[in-house]
Amino acid sequence: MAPQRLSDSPPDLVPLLLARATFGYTPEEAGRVRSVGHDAWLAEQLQPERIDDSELDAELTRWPWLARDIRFTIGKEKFDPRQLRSEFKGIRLLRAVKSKRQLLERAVEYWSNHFSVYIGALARIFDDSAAWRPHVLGRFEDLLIAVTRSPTMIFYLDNHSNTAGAANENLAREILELHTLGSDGPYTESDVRELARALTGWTFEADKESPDFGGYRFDESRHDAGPKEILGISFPAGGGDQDVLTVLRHLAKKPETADHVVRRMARWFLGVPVPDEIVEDGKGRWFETDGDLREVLRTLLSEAAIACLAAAGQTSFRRPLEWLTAVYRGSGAAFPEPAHAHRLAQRLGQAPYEWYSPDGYPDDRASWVGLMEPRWAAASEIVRGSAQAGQAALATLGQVVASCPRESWAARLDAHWTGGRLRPQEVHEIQAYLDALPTETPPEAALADACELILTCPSFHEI
Amino acid sequence: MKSDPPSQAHPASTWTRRSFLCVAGAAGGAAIVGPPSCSRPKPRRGSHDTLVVIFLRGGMDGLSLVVPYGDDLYYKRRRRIAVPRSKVHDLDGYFGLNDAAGALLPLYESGRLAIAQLVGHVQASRSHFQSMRHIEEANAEIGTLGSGWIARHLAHTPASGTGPARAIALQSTLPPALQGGPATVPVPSLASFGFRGPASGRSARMACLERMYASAPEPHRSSGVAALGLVHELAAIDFVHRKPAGGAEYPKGKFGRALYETASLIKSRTGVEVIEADFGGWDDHRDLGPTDGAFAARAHELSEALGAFMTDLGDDAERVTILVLSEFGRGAGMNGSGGTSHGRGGTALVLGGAHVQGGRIHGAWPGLGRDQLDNGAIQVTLDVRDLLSETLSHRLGTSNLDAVLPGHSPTPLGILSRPSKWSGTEVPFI
Repeated sequence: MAPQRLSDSPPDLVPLLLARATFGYTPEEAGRVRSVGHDAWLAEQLQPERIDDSELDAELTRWPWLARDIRFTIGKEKFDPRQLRSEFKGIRLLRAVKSKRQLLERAVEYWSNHFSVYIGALARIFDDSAAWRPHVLGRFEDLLIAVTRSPTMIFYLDNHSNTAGAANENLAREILELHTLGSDGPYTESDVRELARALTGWTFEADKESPDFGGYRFDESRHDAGPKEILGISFPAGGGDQDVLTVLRHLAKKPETADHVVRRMARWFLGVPVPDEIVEDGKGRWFETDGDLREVLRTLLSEAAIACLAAAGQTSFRRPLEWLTAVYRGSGAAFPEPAHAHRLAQRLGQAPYEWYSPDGYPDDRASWVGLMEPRWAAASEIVRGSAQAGQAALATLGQVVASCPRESWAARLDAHWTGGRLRPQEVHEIQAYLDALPTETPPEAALADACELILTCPSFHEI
Repeated sequence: MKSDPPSQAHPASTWTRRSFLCVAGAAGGAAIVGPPSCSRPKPRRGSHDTLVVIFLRGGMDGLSLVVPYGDDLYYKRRRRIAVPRSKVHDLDGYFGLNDAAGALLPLYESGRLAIAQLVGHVQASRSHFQSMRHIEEANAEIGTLGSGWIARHLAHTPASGTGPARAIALQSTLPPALQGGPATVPVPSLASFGFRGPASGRSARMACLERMYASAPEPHRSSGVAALGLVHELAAIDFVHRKPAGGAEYPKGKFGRALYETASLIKSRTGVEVIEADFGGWDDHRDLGPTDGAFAARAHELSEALGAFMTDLGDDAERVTILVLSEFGRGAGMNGSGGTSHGRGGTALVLGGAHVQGGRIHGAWPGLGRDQLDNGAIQVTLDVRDLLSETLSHRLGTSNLDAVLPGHSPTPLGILSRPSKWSGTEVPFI
């Protein structure tokens, strides 16, 4: 399944690391890894607050509502909710492509999928990322609590209508099954019902005139104050909203949670199937650090772990967003307007916050592998320019091959975009295509064709 | 999501039980028999039905679609979210069809629609994702076979046509039933499927890609070759301007469009054997709205689309089997949000031509009494694998049922019949 490379020299881990820890290989980032070393580069990325990202920050000032509290914006000002939603999702992509804090953005991507919410038909959105973004490199327990209290999750899984007397199980079930213990985890239907009872009254402030509009609110009048028994813990009557916090802290410490979460992280970051030893190392680090997600990522992406992947011949299928961001990062082209980028991601099948059910976009190869057709069109548009894809990338790509004879363009583009990860037969086929073009073919046309073929050949989807 | 108005009176079905004269594909190159006036495109498909699977993701509330309106307990348990008796069309004196899904009534009455009750997997799980896996992998243990039931059927059964793709899913990801199958491609839209980019040099670029995919490691090789082959196959088919047959009108929206495109594909006699067109959003934990809310809108869209699809297919429905499944039914009661909890046994629909033993409700129904419920839900009485098994053996020509549904001893259901033998006006196709 995974393309094997036969070589006596040790495999180059840099393209593998960048495919997993960033949104796509660039020669500049590869140079950075080579100059400071694998684990030191990782340490830099795991301290994102120390990385200067002022260029992106300056660009983000174009959307003033990002810097303000979006709840306030929604409550008080007129805006087009469709446009805002589209920009909100597209800005996630802009950050993914442009941020120097690549691993932080990868973590945001992972956690927004682990705690997947569908933001489509909702009448309004709340900027939940403000609530949980600070925790994606922090402790799992804090992240879990922040997400469970976030108005978007509460709304998405119907908990704002969860009322004493006939509890709504939606949020309770997915906390246990998807967010913590996993579907094989040690919980029963009774635990689902009892946690749902404890969650009654967990809602958000819906009064637009309130200064707390959109924030978490505990509505005691809807809360079932009776005694409860959840996961073997007895809660006496009258615990208020503290009972759920106790359960969440308990869940965060369960070994089954560590297993479920670390395994899922490893699948997302490293590809499927993940060698067991890497998962075990990640879990070990989780237990040592009480679920410190920064440390878990340091272990999963360490030089030892990536070398283990390489030794196993393990590759990862690029999901649609990873493909899109890698294409843009490598092309050096201007990123399109966020609303357009969002539409492009929809066409590719993985727009942020648009997976309908709470399990998040699939992480495996089997779900995505045949979805090639949207990539053919998107590759062509990005290379040649279009309304959605933005200005043609050809100008910047021309510089990549500027000092290179056409006889070696395919290898040059492969080195530029993947660090030389394409199969030799593919490079050969693409070069043969170029060589067969009529001599009068303009260089831009030849280059565009070559780029399209690079971006759509089998190995580009698998790294 | 707020609703469209529910359907009102539905016009009489255009369906008639005509003899099956214009047969599309006689097996093994046998002569095609039929009046000379029945001109059809040259058949390319083989001897088995085209299977259309519609998975209602989220857990469709069967009690709101096929309503036990003859049971006072239903009204007692569902109270303000029950479908009133005035809004159901009687089916058998106990069950009635929700008027929002009224477009299904003529199909039921003409025998083209069979209803199966309390269908599901036989494990205890009430998780969406485990239940889907149990049903779509159709194996006692999930995650062990690495493939879905349709994928295994395709792998163990010779292709019935010669086209590049054997199965497609009209969405961006392959559903579990199709995962791991040969020549299986997700196609978000048949209408816009193509190889774009500038026309000049397009065929050379495609040829270059075809060479690279032909030598690629699996699973890229087979999926890439199938996707590229589909470009050629679909180019000649009109998925946009074709006028539906029989005056059929598909509802607006993604699902109606998916079935319209599916009909176009079936009519053009490609080699595609299985088409999956899913319909999501059935997880009604809140504000069910079975007569004028969210559920009613979905039931309306589903039934209008199915009604149009069957009308549009016309005689082609004799070679089509449609399964409408969901991961589970829902709890018998209601919660404080005006919604329902995850349950167990659900409602499945089977549609097609005369091979469907329609116009009746299959499966055992224990009732809604306290003793019949487990944790508030009605149990599964019809193992979904029996329905899959009957589809596979009677309609799809599966050659190795044990490999497709390992460890399962099928119980005959009598929902689907085997293809009939040659008899006067009919044509053998086995």
